[in-house]
Amino acid sequence: MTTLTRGAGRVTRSAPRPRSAPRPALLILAGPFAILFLAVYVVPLVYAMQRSLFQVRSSGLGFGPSEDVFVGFANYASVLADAAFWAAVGRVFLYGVIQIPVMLVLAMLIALLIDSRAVWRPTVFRLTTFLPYAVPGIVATLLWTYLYVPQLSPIVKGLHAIGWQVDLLGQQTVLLSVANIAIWSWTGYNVVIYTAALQAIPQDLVEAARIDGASEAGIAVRIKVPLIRGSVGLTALLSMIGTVQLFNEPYILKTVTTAVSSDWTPMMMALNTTFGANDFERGSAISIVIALIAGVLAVIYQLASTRSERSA
Amino acid sequence: MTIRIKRAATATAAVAAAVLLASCSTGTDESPVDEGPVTIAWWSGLAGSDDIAAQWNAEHPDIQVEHSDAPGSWQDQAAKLTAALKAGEAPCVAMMENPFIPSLAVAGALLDVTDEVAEFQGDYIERTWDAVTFGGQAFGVPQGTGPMAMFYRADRLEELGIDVPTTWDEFYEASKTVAEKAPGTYLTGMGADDGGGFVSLAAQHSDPWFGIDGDSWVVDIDNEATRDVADYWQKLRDEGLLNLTNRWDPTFYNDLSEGRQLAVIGGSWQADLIADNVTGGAGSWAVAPMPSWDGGQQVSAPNGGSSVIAIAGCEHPAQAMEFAHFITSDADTTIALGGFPAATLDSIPERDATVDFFGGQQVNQEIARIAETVAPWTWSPTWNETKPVFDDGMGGFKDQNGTLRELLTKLQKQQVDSMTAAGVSVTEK
Repeated sequence: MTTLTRGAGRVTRSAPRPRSAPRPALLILAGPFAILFLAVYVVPLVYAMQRSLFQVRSSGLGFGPSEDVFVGFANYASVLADAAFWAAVGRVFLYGVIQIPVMLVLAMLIALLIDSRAVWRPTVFRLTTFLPYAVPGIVATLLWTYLYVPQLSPIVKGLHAIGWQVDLLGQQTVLLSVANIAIWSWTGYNVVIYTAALQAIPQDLVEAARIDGASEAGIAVRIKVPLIRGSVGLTALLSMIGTVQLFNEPYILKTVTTAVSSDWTPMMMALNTTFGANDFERGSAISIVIALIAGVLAVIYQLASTRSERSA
Repeated sequence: MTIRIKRAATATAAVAAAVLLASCSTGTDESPVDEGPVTIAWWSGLAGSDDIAAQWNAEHPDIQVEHSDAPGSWQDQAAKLTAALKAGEAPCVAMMENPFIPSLAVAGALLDVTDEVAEFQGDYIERTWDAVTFGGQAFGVPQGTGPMAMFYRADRLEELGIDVPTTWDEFYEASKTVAEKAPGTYLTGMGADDGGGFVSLAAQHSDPWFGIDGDSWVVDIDNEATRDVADYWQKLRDEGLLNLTNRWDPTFYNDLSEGRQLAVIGGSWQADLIADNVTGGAGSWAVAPMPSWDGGQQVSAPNGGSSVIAIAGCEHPAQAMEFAHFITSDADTTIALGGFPAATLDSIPERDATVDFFGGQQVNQEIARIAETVAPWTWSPTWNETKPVFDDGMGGFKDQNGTLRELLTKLQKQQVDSMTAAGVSVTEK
């Protein structure tokens, strides 16, 4: 039998189902997936891991044939000892600390508004907030680039006209400009997750609170938000993983500002090392370190969330 | 959730795919004795390449050229070339910017065609072979040289009472005059996103940063003469006399069109780009040699420049080089591709639009004279790794996070380290 955990819309199994032989239908459905998963995910991953243990070395002037040397974890050691790598990780961490809370709080406010039926035509409202998410990330960034570049931007020109000399692409501001693009793109997506979770809250709970005289704001803060804690955790985790993999926005902004270097985020560094410097081996090592960091974050989150669920 | 992950996965997949492709690379097959027409695959991102291939194919039934467009920056193209090579999909000949040629050679992407190009040697300006010849091995033929010149608004300088500067001292004084008499206007600028311009400014005054001594590369970036050049531009920057916009985004031409910057020190290819992209002052622009250091001899420097290189695995190198010779030594073809020829030509055609823009000045003839004064230069085998460091460093120079002198020290170390890491023998000077 199954039980619904509180509000999160997540299903936990209280007793394992009796085992039975896999059915043919299951094989037909899962087979192609397994093959594709192996071919496009596991094989490249294993290959990247293998390459990360090698280095291609030339000798003399370097124009002769080169040698593939097994170097163990030397590539990893050089990545972990690289100040530029940690600078990129630190930058992305700072970005996450700013971007994730702002985005999630904003998404929560919008979701609660929609759920409270305080807004006129919630469907239209929900669709409008979701719309930026439908714009491909690259296009969204190009759009914002236009709004950031001083020579083109009506916003910057307007701000200058009222005497505010702001440079949205400067060393100090570009991180916030990148965060702004991500917030714009992803808030609606989180709103959808939250509204779905809010709709799963049993209406009798809300009704009961209303009869007891709770205000709409009180209901939102004291009843609804705690009940969708699971979804909040989920979106936080996804945002964290997305942050580690930050790439599109800074990669495009790099073409219009010198404040974004070619190794501004760990992902950009991986790309630049692999293709710019033609060092596939070190690039593989960087990619795997990034994957490990994302994995560790996911595990920490899992442990923290199970603990808090248990104590709740 | 998956979508966010998917987004990032696309980037990882690209890396993974390339890595996967790398595993599929095969050695070159021994080619059979040539019989009948052969097909040469040619990568070129320059406009007009298709027409040239069609013209060649019509005239040479035995050697058919298959042109593929190679879009993106030169660095992108170099990366694509090595990836394609690992995937076994590389062309036979490709156009490449000179700075990336030694990197490609060390990556094993190039084919030694010393014997095949020997007969063409005399058709080119001697100096230009430096770009494709290393340690006695030739990897292709030179195409464009990019001699550096000064492009300027003659009318505005006259208005401000400035004589066209012929030395760097005069250039500095002129920069000050411009700033005083026309606030908000700069005499010249420097690309805050591109170290390429600075390399050429250094090349005018310094020995080449890289060289080959016996069986070892020599790295000599942080030297006295280059420091002089660094200090000169640092002074201009610190006194607010330098326009530091990005070189490769529309702000650059915007500044020129609106008269915020009055002169550009750049390669010969700059002439066409200015004529095509600048709207202000058409007819009032002019070309002159870049200022000199000691006031005596005029010296220019290579800025960019490109070559046609032979790619490893090419089965018909002789035919490929014959085609390469054609596209680099035929005056109309070379000019049609927008480069300034490395070949010694009896006459160099003018492009009317450019001549009109430069007030009737015979731009190509002027540059042909400048081309004879170009200083020697050799690029390094790990320049592809240094280029981003250099470009990022120029951003730091703009934002006052570092000086050009500090950047030179950093580049010297980066070059020695990257060559050592690649297993290339390197000597520091």
